[in-house]
Amino acid sequence: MAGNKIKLQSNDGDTFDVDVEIAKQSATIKTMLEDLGMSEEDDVIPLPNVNSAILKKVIQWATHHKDDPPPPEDDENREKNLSDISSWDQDFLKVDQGTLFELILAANYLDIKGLLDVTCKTVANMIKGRTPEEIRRQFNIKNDFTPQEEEQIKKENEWCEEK
Amino acid sequence: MSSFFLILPLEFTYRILDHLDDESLILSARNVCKRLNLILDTYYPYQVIRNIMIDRLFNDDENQILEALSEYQRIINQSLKKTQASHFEFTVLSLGIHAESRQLDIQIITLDVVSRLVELLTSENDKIQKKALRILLNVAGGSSKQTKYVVDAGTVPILIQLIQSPNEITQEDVDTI
Repeated sequence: MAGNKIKLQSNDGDTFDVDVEIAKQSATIKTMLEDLGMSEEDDVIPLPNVNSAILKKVIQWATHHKDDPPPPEDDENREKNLSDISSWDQDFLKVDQGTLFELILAANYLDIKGLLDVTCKTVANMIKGRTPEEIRRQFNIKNDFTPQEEEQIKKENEWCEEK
Repeated sequence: MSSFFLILPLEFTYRILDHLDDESLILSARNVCKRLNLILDTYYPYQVIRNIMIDRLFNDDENQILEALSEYQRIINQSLKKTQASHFEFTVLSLGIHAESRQLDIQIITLDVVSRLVELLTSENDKIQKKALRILLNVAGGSSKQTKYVVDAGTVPILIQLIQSPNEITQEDVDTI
């Protein structure tokens, strides 16, 4: 089994040779291989939702994490611990926001739970402890409240502000 | 260029919010923009904090108050458990009482919430009285800042009144403080 490769094709036509075991971190690909009986040898698996740049990143991530234990199933008591992102992942995710968000979508499409978790956590970290104004700047979000609404918000928030 | 954050499909926004603590939901994510507010309005954990914690606590209906008090107590218990398990980060999630460890030293528990709890101490309803007292006790046992909140809200004179009250159960509770 070891050493088997499959070809993954991005939506812009590039193909990547990837170890089967690495590719199988994607539950989507795993299902294709196992349930649909696709042969590993010569078939190319097309991934119409992922472009080359993102697919390259995903493969890079999956290669680094190939020996990780499988992530726990939907954890009921999921810890809201945002500081447990490994330093490798932190470096890996030092990308522009467009890439980060595309990685979230790709991780979801390919069904790679670990990658989806860590990308969502990274975005959550960009929100945590910030003020709404800082978040607007961070994500390039326009403040679309009218002055009247702003006034209302201020009132609404009185209970949670230090007097 | 529009924000990636806002064009992300809803389910992913939820997933991101899932990683936020209650305090960040209220103090950070809330009121960034209209779309995010709409998303939060439909996001269950946020609804829980907002409705149960605040609206019901300040309601006139006794059952609503009781539900709110139970929710506060539940969250406090959870947080106490966490404290024992990990280090001394005393984070009462939705009450937002938390020790000095955060970057932004914003306290959600305010005189408002505490005053309401103190007000409830004088309730005719035994259950409400007891529950409110227990929560205040927990809050006062937090950081020195929290203790100050509770004292500032005028808890002490009411406690003295309660000690002199004919209700024995309440008296016992007060004594434990």
